Amino acid sequence: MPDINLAQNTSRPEAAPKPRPMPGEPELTNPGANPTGLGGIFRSMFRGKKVADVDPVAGTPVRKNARANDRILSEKRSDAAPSLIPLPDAGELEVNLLSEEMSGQFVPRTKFLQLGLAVVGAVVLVGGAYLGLTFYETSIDKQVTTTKEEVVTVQREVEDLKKQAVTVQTTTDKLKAIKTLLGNHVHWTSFFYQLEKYTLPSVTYGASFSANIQGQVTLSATTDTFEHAAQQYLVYQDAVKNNDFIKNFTITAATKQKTKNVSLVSFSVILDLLPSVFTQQVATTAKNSDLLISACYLLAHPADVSFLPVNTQADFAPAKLPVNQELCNQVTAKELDAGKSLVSSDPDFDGLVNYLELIAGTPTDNPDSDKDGLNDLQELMVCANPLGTGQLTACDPLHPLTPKL
Amino acid sequence: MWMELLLKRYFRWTVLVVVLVFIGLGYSFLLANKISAIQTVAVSEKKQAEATLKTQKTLRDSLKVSLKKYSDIFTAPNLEKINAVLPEKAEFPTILLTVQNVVASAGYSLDAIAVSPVATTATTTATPDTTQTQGIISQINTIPNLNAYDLSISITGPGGYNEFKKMIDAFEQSQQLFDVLSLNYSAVQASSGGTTTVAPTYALTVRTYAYSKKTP
Repeated sequence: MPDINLAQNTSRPEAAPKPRPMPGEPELTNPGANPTGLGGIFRSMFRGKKVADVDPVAGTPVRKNARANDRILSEKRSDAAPSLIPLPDAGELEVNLLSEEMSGQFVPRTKFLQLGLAVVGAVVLVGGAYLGLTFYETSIDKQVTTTKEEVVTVQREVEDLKKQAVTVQTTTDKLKAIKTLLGNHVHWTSFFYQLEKYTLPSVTYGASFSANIQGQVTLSATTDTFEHAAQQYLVYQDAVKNNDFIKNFTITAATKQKTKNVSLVSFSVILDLLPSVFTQQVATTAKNSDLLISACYLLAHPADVSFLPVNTQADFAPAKLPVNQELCNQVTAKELDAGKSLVSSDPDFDGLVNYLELIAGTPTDNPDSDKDGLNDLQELMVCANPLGTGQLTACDPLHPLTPKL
Repeated sequence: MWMELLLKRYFRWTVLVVVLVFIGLGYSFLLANKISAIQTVAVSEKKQAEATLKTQKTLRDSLKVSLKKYSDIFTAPNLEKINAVLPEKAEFPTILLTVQNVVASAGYSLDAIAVSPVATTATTTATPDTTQTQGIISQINTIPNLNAYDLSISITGPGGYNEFKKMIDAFEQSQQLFDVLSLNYSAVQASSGGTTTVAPTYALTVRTYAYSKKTP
């Protein structure tokens, strides 16, 4: 005998499913059956039984898993007088005349639909995730591409900079080469300065001259007497002793020649130069420069020779100066001012202006360089060595100081 | 029967299992590969590219700083002077003109000039020199990329001792480096029209240099 469920299912008041009514039959309700429609399907799938069913008799909620017919059975067992309490909001009474098992036989299609929908949902979920990942991958790809492009740009910049760095390195190497070359640069002017310093005024170098970087110098020299030739020999000896510019020298022969009223003694000199003479340019050039500008100043201002000792003034006349106007044209006005200072200043008050101290090789701040009681001027006037003992070999008492470059 | 059980009593579990199976399959066949590909790109390529970029940027910045320092020193005028002292090429016309100017500045005239390259032993290690003179001669072998040229020069002129010194000084002070290796002077007597004149002739051997960086 089929159960009759007279209880109202209040959990789905809005979904009042109505089985298809047969013509002439009263409308039956099946509150336990699944509702139709997509929303109903999902609702039925995930519907919980949390809403308590209300016992229409006692007005109290029935136990959670109570079946509909339990109420009827309980009513039958109850001794109490039946007292029907009006159902809350009991607008429409649903009556399900089919058992749940029977009604379930008609729902597999719905279940399959639900299952299909769940599968579709899963597929959509996976597809969405795939699309999201694809989008993310594209985004990462774009970032990688952008980064790689930036790398290429920076690499080009680095290559350009490296080329510039190579140029800088080449220039640096070149500067090092220049420094080495300048350190070994050959300066013959130093040799000439020293040669003049160690040559007697009566000796001139003439007919032939040869010199090379190995330090071998061959000179042909002339003087007026054998005595002067011998004196020149002694001067070279001094140079060797002082280790000034030659380490050895040779004079092998001297020949006297008479032409008309003049007799000349010619001799050949071989000098063995110290290698350092070729690299003494800096100090010597500075000295030469001071000597040059002083001489040029005197050439331009002959009257200022009065600053020099009286017995030397004649030797510094314009005609005796080792400069000419053409050479002095290269001297600037500022340098001439410096020349004036050299010609007129005597800071140590020894009677020798700085220009003459330069020629004599004495210090400009010490009136008595060798501290022998005689000041530098007094010693030079008698060809005494102002820097030590003895006499100056390349010195003519009549012309103790002569202009030099 | 089992179908009925699955679809009725265990329907929810069935749905859950089916959904999980589909998600698992989707993950295995689609998402796993995609995630792997993304990890390859993101972890490997992107990180590598970013690391390369960082390295290159560091190198670039370092080079920029160094070059800025040198660009302040190696200005165009300074580079011009350096090239004038030690040119990259020692070409005959340039040498000829330079020597002629130096000789003319002292009032002499250039009669002849011959340029010959000096053979180098192409050693890059500097050997200590026992004397400075040897240093002058052998320096061409100790300075990498240095080329030396010997110039044999004959000059004549009316100049005296001071002019001759001035000419030698002009060679020494020339912006382009010249080392005068040998000097020879001789006074040649020449007779013309009953008068005897002395024409001094000078023969010099001068060495000049060029610096050419060999590209590796």
